[in-house]
Amino acid sequence: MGKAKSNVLALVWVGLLLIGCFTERGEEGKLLYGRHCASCHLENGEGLRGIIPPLANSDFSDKNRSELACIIRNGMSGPVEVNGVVYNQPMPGNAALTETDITNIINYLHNEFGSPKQKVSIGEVREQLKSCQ
Amino acid sequence: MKKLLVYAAFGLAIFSACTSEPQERQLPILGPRTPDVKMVEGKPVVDTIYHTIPDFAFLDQDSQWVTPKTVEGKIYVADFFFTSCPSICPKMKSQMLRVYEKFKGNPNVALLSHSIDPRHDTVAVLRDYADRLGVKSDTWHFLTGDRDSIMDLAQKHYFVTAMQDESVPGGFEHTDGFLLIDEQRRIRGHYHGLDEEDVDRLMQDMELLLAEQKNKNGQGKK
Repeated sequence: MGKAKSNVLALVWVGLLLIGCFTERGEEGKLLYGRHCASCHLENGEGLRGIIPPLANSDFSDKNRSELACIIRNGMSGPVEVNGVVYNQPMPGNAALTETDITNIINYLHNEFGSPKQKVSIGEVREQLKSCQ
Repeated sequence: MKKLLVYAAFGLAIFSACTSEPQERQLPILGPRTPDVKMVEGKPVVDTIYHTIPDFAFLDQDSQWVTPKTVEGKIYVADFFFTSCPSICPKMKSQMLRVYEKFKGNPNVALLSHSIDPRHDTVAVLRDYADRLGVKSDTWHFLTGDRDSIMDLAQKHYFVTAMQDESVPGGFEHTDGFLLIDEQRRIRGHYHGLDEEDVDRLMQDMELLLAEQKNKNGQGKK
């Protein structure tokens, strides 16, 4: 009985650690997205026709999965092609966002909009942020 | 008891009078008004002067002058934005696009989006912006011109906030207001351009105002 209980506790503990690794707290991602991204890319991620690229089912987000962390933190400028349309509107950076915030945002994009197709871990984000150009 | 019934009946009568004729709903005329007293046949006659949008002249995305003449005989919706705006503009514009899609073929409707950053938003920049949105200048004009005139018009005549403020993202503070203006350049409604439901209300009110004008013009011809 005692052993079973400690097994359960261990499982819970491992589960919590895993949650920490992937920071899959959807609510937080949603909140951060709403605060930092939605005014331009809109709540549903569709962007603004011809001006702000979409994040929903975006081939760009998927192809550039390893750049997303840097783009979110530092912004970007110059022409960019998303789903066959060329956009050219500078995106401001968000220097104040932490690694956890950025991980949450990218995983929100993954969950909500299907792109990138693979989620990211905080470890990956940390590595990516080290080598931002 | 009898008194109570009378009150109830009275209340019901008022209630039904207020609600049963939705087609007679009229949009308010907003803004300050001043009484204008004239002497007619030795008697004073009081007329009300409503607030109206004064004359203006701005350039649109096709380098055409947009003046009151451009919107003569039309109702229009005005708003304030700037193309490089990183805060509320994209959402406002996505809502204004809904209005555009609904009324774009209507010769009695115009949309005027004033840039509050006209130094950056030149005709060429606005042209590119409109092209990207897929918007034609026969309905939707993106306006640039003298910055002080635009700010002045926004604050003193459309009664919305528009000012330079380095502390906000993008450097300009402005509201999400959409203003509905009638044929006589009077303000007939104020809506939140970020609120989908409020923009629904705007589109309903536009129909109402178009009907009001059609009625009035029809009567005028008789």
